[in-house]
Amino acid sequence: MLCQYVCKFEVFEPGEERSALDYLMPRPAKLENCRVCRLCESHCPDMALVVVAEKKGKEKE
Amino acid sequence: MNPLGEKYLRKNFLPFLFCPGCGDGMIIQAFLEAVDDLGIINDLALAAGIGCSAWIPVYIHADVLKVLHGRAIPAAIGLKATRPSRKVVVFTGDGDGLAIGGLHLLHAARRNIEMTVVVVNNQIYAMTGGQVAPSTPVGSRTQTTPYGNLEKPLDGCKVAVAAGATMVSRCSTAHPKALTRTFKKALTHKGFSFVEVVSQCPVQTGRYIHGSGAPQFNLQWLKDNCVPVDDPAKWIEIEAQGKIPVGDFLQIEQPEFMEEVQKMNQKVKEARAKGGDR
Repeated sequence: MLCQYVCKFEVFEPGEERSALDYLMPRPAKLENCRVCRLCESHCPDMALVVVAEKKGKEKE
Repeated sequence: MNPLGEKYLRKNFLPFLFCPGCGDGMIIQAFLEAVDDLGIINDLALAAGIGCSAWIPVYIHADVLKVLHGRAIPAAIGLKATRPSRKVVVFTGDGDGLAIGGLHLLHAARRNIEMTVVVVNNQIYAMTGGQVAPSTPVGSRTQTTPYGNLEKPLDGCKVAVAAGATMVSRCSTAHPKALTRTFKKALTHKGFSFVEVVSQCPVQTGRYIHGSGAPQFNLQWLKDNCVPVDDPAKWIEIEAQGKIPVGDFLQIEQPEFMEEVQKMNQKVKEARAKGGDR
């Protein structure tokens, strides 16, 4: 789970769902910690992640 | 799924058959980011031989030529000769591109044919179970070097420079944003561009050479050993420390082969039209 490894804000933890190839998938357990650095997105070998930022205040992402 | 995947991947081929933690998926993402930024998906023509990295273009929804082991470059040259307006990209590995396909690399670079050759270097023949490759470090235990590799590894970047490539860079999957930037430079370079991507292979290289098959371990190995360098003159210094320098090694402008052939054809036609031969 490279997303869990590269995330500096401990967003991910091991999940219980399995992928189509029967691997245990990580889950974003602490989304409130996410800083939208997109390290997880760029390091995912399966292109399974997309980070979508919400706009807040004066279009701050 | 990642929006780039939604836009550019062949859905009926998914999921990726790569091993868990393999760098090939990260290379696909970095490449598609570059293609998306440049808007050139319809101009692409991809070629690949045999190996794990040669599966990269198969997943991309573009025109793909999948050929024999080591023969992606001559197929790509044919592609470029018949469709000169296309952006030709070859995905090959350290076995496919530097061993059996090594001579094709020399001559394509020497001619400065406009194409991008991406050599995914995982330091082993991975798909066939982990045999020694031209890029395997000295002392490595592999399936065919059970007592340790005695051969000095080949440096693909230096081979490309010596052969006459006009753009040579090395990246790693530990630096995906730099990889995207390098792909963009290579795709817009007028001439032969060579991009070596040092990539993790947890199942073969990780287990046999680095001591662990964990993807996190192998990614950390790349982060620790691939040193970004701005000045090509410092590459030797980094290599002397036993590390792998990554960065742009060379970029120059020189006449491109297909354009020179077209110019020559035009000259010969004009000369013949005037009644001469040259």
